[in-house]
Amino acid sequence: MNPYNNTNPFGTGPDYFESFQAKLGGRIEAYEELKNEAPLLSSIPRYNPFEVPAHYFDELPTLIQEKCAAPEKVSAFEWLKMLFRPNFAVPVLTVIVVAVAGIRYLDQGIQGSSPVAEEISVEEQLQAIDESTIIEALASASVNESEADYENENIKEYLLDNHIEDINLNTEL
Amino acid sequence: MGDKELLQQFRNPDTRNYAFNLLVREYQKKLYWHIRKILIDHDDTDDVLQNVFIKVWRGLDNFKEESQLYTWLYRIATNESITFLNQKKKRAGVPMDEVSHFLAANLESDHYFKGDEIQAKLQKAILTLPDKQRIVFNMKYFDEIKYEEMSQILDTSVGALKASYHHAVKKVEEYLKTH
Repeated sequence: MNPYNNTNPFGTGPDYFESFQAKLGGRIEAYEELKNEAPLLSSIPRYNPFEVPAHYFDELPTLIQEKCAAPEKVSAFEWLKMLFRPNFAVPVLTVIVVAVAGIRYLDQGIQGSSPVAEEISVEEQLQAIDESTIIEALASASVNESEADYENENIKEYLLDNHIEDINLNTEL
Repeated sequence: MGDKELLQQFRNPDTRNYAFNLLVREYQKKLYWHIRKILIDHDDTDDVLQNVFIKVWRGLDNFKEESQLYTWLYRIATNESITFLNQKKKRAGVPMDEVSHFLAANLESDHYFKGDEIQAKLQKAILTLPDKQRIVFNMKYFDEIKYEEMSQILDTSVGALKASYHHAVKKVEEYLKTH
């Protein structure tokens, strides 16, 4: 009895043989086309002339996993760029405008209240002053006025005595 | 493990890291060589490849499965490579039309380039192509990616890709004849 049952343990992808001829035909067609269009190019062996450092592809997946696990760093330049993006800049500018407007409004409010405060304080001050003090102030003001009148009269007499007329006085002045 | 199952495992917090590790191992070489052909330099390729996988880690939860996972990964890798290349050119102060000299210089100084003279000449010829055309050429000539797949990766019509590849072949052939 044959222990080996002569079955093929290997398999192929679905529809492999059905599509093989079409695939092969495509490659031959491309080769012939290149040979006609670019004979020099078609004569050059087609292989990869570049190399990679030893074990590069073995180590790369681990390196990439480490980088993906690290927290995302945003550089200062990226932060600046982010500030100017519309979806970030618009709310930031809105907040700034509202804050500035609010500060100006509050400032105006404070300034507006001070004349009223001054009026109240002046009235309060007047109410606080004794009547006798006011009478004395008015009396001294009237005395001063009479003294000023007296002086004016003296000046007139001087001018008349010295024959200085108004016209000349005005000219001199 | 198929893409669907991989995504299910990734979305499960208990198996997330395991699934991601599998994804990296599955696609690292394909993506590496795709990026390497764009950037030429190994160290630059390493930087970009790591950035690509970090982006995948952060964005895979939101992957809508409207395209194949492989297509989505390739698209991220392509975009990251082009962005990196443009930034590098800007930092080096290289005008956009002189990029071939810039990259060819990288090629000559690369310790990990082991091609012979003819291979070096071919690579320099490819480097004279505009960035996107170079990507199309590499994907078709070296990777033999179908135009329909390329169309999804590069978000360009099949017709435009065929025309781009055709022109790229002509330019490379002309360079090989004249140098």
